[in-house]
Amino acid sequence: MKLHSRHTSKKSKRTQQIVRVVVISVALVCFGLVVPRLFSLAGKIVMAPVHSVHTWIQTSDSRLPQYFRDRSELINRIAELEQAVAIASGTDLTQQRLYEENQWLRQLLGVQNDSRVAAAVIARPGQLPYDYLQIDRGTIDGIQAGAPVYVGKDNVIGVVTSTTERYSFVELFTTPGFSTTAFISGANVMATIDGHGGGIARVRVPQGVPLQVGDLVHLPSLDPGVFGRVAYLENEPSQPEQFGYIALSQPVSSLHYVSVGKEVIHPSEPPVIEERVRAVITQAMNINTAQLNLASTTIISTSTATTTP
Amino acid sequence: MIFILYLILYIFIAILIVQNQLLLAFLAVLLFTYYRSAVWLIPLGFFIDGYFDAFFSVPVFSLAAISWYVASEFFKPRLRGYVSQ
Repeated sequence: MKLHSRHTSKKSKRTQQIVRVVVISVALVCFGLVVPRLFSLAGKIVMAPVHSVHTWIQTSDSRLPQYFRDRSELINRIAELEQAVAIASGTDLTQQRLYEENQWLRQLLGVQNDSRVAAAVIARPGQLPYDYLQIDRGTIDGIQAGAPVYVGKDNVIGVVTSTTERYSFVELFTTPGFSTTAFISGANVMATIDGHGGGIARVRVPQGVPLQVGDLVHLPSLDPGVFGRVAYLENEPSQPEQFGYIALSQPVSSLHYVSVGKEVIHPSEPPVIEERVRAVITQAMNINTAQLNLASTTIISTSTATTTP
Repeated sequence: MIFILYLILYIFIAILIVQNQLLLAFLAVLLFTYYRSAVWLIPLGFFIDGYFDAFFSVPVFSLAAISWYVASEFFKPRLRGYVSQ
């Protein structure tokens, strides 16, 4: 009994102590909320050595803090890269899906994929004038002058300008003096590309057109015809035009294999295009009277059928 | 000697919290609470809140330290009894 009462008194003493500490602490917290400046000052004075250590770890060039800093930076970098990889794999899937969908739609529209001939580059600038290539395929392999030359699936880089039985010469779009019409997606504008030499072409657009680095440059006369991306912008607000420089997706010296389309590009002048467009419109606007009668009878009969109960 | 070790651990907790290494700080707090008393963590909570100007809004560390003290005083005798058994 005595032992039990001693145990109980010890327990109650302990509880009292806890309550006392809690009450004092809560009172101090309340006091701190009333005079926060005083507590902040006290905290900063007492924590000054800890703050010094913290600053040393954050800024020192010594090995130990540098090790910890590098480690945490590398961990963050790894996390960023993992995220980038995840996004990229998602983008790859999206690209593949879009490509397959595109192919399917092209099939539905009856677009035929042109066959191509693979060719090795046997001479390039250095042995040849700037922005010319020599490839090891000729007329025997079905190559004709005017055929587009591709790198990869849809990156067009130039046209075959002359061909022999066994080899051909390719003029790149970046050849000085070469000029072609292009569509710049992003800015959504048609513009003329001028070859600048050395694997660089230049596009000129008026001021105010939102041309940006990374915009894709398409050649509408070729299908599929992506020429490249705008790699550099030269934009002086005082000038009436801005220039975008387009580089080849691969340096000319790195081109090893190319593919040559069998469908020849037919360069057309604006009046010729206009004539063709006019012919298409005229053809579309001319309605055969027999078809018209048939169509109107069908409409009448359908409407009769639907209105009759 | 043992007092110095606890003092180092105490300062280490402060450094870890200032460094925002809260998980490691929690482990150190566990150690400190087991071998010493969590009551010493209450002043530390006050100082850290003062350092971070937390008394201008909510003194999180002080309140956490008080709560931790109460919880540890409740659980510690049972834990000690369980370990001794």
